Amino acid sequence: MDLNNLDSLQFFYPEIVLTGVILFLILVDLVVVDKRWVGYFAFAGCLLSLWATLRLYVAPEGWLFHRMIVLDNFSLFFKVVSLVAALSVMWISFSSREVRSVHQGEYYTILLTSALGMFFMASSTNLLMAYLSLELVSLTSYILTGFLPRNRRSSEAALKYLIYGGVASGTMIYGMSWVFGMTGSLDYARINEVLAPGGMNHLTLFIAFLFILAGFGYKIVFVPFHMWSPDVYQGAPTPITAFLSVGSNAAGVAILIRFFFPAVSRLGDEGNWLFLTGVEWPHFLLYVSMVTMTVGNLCALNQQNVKRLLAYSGIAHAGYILMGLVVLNNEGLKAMLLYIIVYLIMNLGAFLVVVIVANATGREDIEGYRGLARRGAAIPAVCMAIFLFSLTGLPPLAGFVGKFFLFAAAIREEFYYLAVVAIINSVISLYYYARVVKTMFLDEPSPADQQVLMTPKDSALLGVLSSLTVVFGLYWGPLVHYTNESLRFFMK
Amino acid sequence: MENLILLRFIPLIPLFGAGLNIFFGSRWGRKNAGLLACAAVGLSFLLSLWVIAALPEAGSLKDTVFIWIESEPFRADFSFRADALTVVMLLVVTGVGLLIHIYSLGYMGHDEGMIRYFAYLNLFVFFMLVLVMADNLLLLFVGWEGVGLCSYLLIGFWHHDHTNTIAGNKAFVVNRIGDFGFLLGILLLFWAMGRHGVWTLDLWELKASAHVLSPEQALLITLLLFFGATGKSAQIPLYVWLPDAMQGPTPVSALIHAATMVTAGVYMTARLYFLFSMAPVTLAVIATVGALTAFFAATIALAQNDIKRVLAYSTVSQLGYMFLAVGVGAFGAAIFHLFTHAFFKACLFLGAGSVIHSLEGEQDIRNMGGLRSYLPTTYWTYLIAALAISGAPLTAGFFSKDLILWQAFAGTRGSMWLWFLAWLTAGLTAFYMFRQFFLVFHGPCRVKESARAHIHESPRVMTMPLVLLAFGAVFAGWVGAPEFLWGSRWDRWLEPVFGGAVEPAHGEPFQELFLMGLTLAVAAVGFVLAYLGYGRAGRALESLRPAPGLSLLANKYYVDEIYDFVFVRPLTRSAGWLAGSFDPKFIDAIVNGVADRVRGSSLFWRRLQSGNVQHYLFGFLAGTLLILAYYLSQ
Amino acid sequence: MILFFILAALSVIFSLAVVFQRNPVHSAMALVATLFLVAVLFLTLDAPMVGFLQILVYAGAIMILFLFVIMLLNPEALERRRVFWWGLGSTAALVLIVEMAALLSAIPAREGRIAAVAEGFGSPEMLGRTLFRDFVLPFEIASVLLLVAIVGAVVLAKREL
Repeated sequence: MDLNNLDSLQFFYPEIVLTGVILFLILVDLVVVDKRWVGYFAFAGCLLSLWATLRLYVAPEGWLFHRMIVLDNFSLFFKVVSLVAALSVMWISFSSREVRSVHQGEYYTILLTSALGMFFMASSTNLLMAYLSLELVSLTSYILTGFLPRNRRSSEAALKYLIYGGVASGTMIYGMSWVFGMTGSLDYARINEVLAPGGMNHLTLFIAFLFILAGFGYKIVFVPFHMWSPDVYQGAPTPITAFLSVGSNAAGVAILIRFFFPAVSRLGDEGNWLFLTGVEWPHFLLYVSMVTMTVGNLCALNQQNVKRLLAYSGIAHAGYILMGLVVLNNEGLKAMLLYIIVYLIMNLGAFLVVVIVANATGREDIEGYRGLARRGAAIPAVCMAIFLFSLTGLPPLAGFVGKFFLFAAAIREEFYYLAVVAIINSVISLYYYARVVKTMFLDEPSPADQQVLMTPKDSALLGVLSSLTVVFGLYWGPLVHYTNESLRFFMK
Repeated sequence: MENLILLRFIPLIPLFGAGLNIFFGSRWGRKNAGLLACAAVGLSFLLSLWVIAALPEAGSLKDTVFIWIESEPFRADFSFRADALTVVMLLVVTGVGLLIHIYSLGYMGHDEGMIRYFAYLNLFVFFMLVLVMADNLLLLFVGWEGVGLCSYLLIGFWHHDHTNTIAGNKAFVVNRIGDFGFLLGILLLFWAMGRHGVWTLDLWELKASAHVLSPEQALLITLLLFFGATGKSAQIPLYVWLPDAMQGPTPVSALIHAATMVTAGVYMTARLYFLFSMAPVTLAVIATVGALTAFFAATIALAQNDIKRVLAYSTVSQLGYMFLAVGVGAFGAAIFHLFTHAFFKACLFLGAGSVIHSLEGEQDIRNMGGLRSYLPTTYWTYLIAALAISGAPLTAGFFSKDLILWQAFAGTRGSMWLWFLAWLTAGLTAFYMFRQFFLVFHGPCRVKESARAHIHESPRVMTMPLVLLAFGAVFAGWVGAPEFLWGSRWDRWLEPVFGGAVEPAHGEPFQELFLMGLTLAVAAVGFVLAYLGYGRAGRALESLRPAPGLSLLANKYYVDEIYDFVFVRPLTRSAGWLAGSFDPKFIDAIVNGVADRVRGSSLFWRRLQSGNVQHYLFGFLAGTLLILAYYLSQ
Repeated sequence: MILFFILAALSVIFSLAVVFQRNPVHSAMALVATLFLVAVLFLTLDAPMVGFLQILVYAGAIMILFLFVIMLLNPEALERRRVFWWGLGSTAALVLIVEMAALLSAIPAREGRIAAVAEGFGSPEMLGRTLFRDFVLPFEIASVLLLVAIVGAVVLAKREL
């Protein structure tokens, strides 16, 4: 299916709904007095868009808008992921003290725009679209990072992010221009056709792909394109940090997979992918993956700030996720998708607890968590322990299942040292996650520490996320089924 | 096999009750939390009755909740299955469980932690039901571990008292030792079956294809599985945790440590009877261990003065009977005794609880006596249950114990010696039960003056379960009467489960009658001795002076001390050495060395993270160039 | 061809000037010159539309904005950077140049293979067609992007709305 502009509109409702809501929010913000309603409208709009997205599962696959974007299960998967991330983050924002101090209308508008950008990141099959969607997500992320008024750290983070992101996307578009120069097309399918016979200069191709990878890599946050993330994660409002860590990361993975698999690789037998001649990226991604997880975990060891700690842990997890890419087969990709869901759940949960604690005490350092279990917050503390142990990958939690499939994919393809490095890294990560747990449960709270109470909204989301973490740890059948179904690209 | 969606609700309702009480219990208060828990188990009980009615002739019911693990060619479902054996267990768990829940309403009514208590209790019922209804070994293991966890939580329920926590830990550790064997057994079974091309842990599929195993494999697997059973069901050598487990609330002792959880080992061996039947050596081991445990624990019970400890050793002893039955291949008899034992032992425990309750926590039978007039209902129910456990004619214990003794004597795997030990035990049982009975209820009242005024019969909510259980203690056995009376419906009921595995004991009816007479005689001797020793007025006090020969018994053969000396001390000492010198000097040096290196490199990386965006961009560039350099070097 | 080389050399010189000038206003002016030269390059490549847009948008609007900002902030001339960074920067630049050279030498010469330009290539009509038919979706997205950028800029810049 290759549709022109008008015919495409019927498969474009989720995006139309989102765009409509974005415009509506800008207007409605001028009218309503109780600004909380802006958030509720945004939430409702997102739900509507989610419903429209789910309806598309029965639609035929194909290209839309003259091959600009594609409709397939893979893109729908990431659309659902970004919507779920956006919904959860909005839900967290409703009761976040930080967010209450900012302009509600603009906040939710930009958050939704970011989600819209992720939609396009997941579905673009054209280099121009890829670039634009990435910029859309980046730009909104810069703004959201610097959203806190009169907060130096937030503004500084936004500026750093902007400069870093600008360089990264500049590098990426430079690489894209090379690809365009060599193949004469922006269209993924066409690029594949041109590259398939080989004959291109290997070095040129490699550099072009490396530059493109730099742009994707800074979204996924892997070494060496990771350095912006700790400052930004720490400076941004916590719900936004959560959003960046799960949504933006997932969208980066989506655009990466879309480009490096259907666009510049070839599907062989039994779900094995073969990279086109001269595009030998898996080799160095292997090392990138190992270095990324190691650097992330090592840096996390001594962190005193929980948000910064989670930033580094996010880098480490990006490393784990990359494992699925290196093995070059569908098993690995499925494991990646699975891990993205699992990571979404547990990381959102961890950030939710950070928000709950920050709402009550205004503190984000580990010391602020002392004796949390005995300060009226036994349930958040237990949930936090669940999320952190799940992030470590201990059974019977969802994180274990996610890691299990990734490691299994690596081992099956005989990347033993990769698996060993990953396992060692998991052990290292236990140290700093367990440190937080220890602080929450074993350390005596000092008399000055405030009580920590949750709002019903927070406890509802916390209940959902923590029970999902446990349930998926025991019963991962439907999850595996869903990710298996989601790994369907429309290529021809 | 038929599908019945209903099945899943039997365990899930108590789970739901537990969840509700954990999250909202504090909102609706203690009383309602207790009622909710009772209602949950009550519903499960009603559903169990329905299942019995719906159970097809010689078949089973199945309910697959979801596919749990699917990894070709192996597959394990989260599914429940009920057959004749399961429904017996269902009746015990939900029926006796319901009565004990109701009893707890009174017993725990004033306790601060009542909500927590009922949540745990419901959770226990859930896991126990998973255990008995599991259709594969993995799920069974989940239930197995779950009940262990609940048992641990409930033993240490009053965790302010340190000894309770220690008892909980002891139970947990000892159980873990057994569980390790059990898990090894499961894995070995899985592997061995896999070697023969059958990748399954489904109990029914295992039953159909277990014959592929070689005798050696079967021997090793069953020994490991039985080792697991000795942990959970408190047999030699792992029985030591059960007496200490009496630190928990008394209804817990009745439910978990008498009627249900400790019988899990018996259930497991019966469920896997087809494996055990393949390994005659294991069966011989089981029979010997069972008979020895029965005798050994009964002798210890002779000299105990704590009302609950006597019952605890008695439980160990009765469990020994059940394993004796398993060992001689009489699986039906084992389950029969499990069934009747649940009633009279629960009744005894609850009666003891009623006594303790009325004496405000006093547990030493030397400080009781003459309670008959104060606690009439408790007295009569206790008497009935004591008669039942001693095997008085036409009570439940009479039929079940007699069946085991008969099988031990006349079964194809039975022997004179096994019978003799079991026979002696029957006499001992009557003696220690009535020793306790007379000391508690007869003779002069030795309760402290200050407490005497408060002695009162327990409320109706507690006596009503006692009465019902006492009924069970009498009539539960009537379904399994020997042939020369009105015949056993029991064997016919379990026929589809055990099929031809049980070879009928060969012997003449008069022989059976004769043996029955012998058993009755020895029980009567025990009773009379107990009466002479403790029942007559005036004798009781002086007979409580410690007799020199009994100190060995009173000290439980020093088994705890021996274990302490042989296992615990060397372990703690070597652990102490490891912790004191080896660890800091060697391991720490290595670990700290590694950790220091790790932390050192962490510092290095952190220093790179200077906060200066130009440095970050330099990192970006350098990284890119490095990758390029790597590519060029290829 | 000669024209190309002259233009190319000039634009390289001016871009170097952008980097090396220490007075920001001079840098900006050099940038204007560079952009202007690139526009001329476009013209020589039969792309008058793009060339004029380059002058209008970049050299005209954007650079004027740049100059305004620079003059408003009125920064001091930058201090001399540390030698270390100079070294690093120039090394990196050198590596890139070497790479580029290696690349160019690796690509086989394409003599006589200059693609024929279609009739009306680069004309406003052609551009319009392409932009509003094939690329209408990116076009719309770009408009959303700009809208959000404006909203964001307002929010960030003006704290007390």
